[in-house]
Amino acid sequence: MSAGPGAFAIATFHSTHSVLKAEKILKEAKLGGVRLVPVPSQVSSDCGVTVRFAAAQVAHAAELLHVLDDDLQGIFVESAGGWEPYA
Amino acid sequence: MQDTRKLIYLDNGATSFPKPPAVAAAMSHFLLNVGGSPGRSGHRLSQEAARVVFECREALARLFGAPDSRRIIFTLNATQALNTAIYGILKPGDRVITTAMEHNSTMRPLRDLERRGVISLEVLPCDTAGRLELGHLEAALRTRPRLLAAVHASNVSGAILPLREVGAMARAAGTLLLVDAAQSAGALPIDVEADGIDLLAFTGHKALFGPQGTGGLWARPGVEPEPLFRGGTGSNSELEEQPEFWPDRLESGTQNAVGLAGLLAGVSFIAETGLPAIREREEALTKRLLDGLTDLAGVTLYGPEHAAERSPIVSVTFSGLVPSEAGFLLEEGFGVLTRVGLHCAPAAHRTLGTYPQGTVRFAPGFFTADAEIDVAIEGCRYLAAKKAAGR
Repeated sequence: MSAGPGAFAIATFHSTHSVLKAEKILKEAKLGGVRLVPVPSQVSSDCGVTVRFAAAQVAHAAELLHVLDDDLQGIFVESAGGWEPYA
Repeated sequence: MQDTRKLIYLDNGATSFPKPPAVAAAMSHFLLNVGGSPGRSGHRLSQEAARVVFECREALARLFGAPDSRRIIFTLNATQALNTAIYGILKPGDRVITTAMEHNSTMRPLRDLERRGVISLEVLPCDTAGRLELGHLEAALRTRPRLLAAVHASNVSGAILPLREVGAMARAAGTLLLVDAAQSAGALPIDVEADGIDLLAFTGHKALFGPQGTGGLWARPGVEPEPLFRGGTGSNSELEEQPEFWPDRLESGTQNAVGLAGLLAGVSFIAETGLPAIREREEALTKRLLDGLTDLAGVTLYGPEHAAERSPIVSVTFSGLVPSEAGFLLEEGFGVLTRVGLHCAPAAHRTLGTYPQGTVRFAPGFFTADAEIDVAIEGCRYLAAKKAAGR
């Protein structure tokens, strides 16, 4: 699925609604690699989905997703060992 | 089964029919090609189902001027939405005001809470056309009740509440405004911000052109109803407590995604056609009906005089003919389908003076033809003349 460590970042949310809203926002802003994927088990025990995007654009994404802050659980960047929280 | 092409459906106040063709197509597409559980599994068919629910929420938020679609939760119908608002918001000792034109979906929950001593309830009088008398409202709001529950458009007389004025009055008094938009959502303009609404209950299967089993509630941020039901939401699955965030807080159990696919197509049809164009057409049909029935001997009309003051509903009685018999004869003789009786709104019929027998209600819809209205008028003429001749 991934193009190697560090290729993607994800943003996880409490609700599926906000995941889909985030997908819409990121797609409208034309970020790269935007796609819904299952939530990685290392990040959350939820059975739902999360939105994935290009890790290179994580700062831009974080800014865009600010409007969903109250539903945002976290932004994580892919690393060799799994997913690192994006500060 | 009867050939439906020969029938004239004037019962859009109960359920709109026919629907725009895109509604059945969207539901069929969902059942044939999507089929997954919205917001549950992570696979693509589940995602696709979730997207349908999401887009429906977004489309409704645009229609109602709601800035955040998360504040819309889906229900089976307006009744469940009203129950969620009423049982979810009211606390012991609350004072509530409502109108004498309410449907039982508002009146029964309120009467239940009153009977059990939870709330005190004041029912504000309306005039004989079903219009709320704003002087009474103003006086009642001076006591600063917790909630005003009011129907936007009467399902019996078609009378329209001056929403913006009422919203401003409630806001000034610090009273929460719950609007029953069962008849009006999709038919009349609603802007939750400009109209000062705190809770908006709507159904999908009437003027929004969706299927039965769809509806919802919008609530202003800070207005946080307790859920009627708790259960699986597909989120926070590690917790045994209900999540607080919207919409999950109020949406337990698998949602009616196939229904919402249809509702999305219905709301999209409204957006494409334009609500003003729909309103103009329905108002013209209502006017045609009113013009044809006004001054017809033996027929009594209820509700506001002008079509512009009504949702597309015209209630009548025939002298010497009970509504059930009139409705039966209209169907048998003319293929005209109406709804007769009390329309689940005994308070409204008491206000109009038509309790307990009720009325014959004609409710045209956007797809009704002028010629169909003319047949209904012809049918009424026939019934009135037949009675006058003593046959």
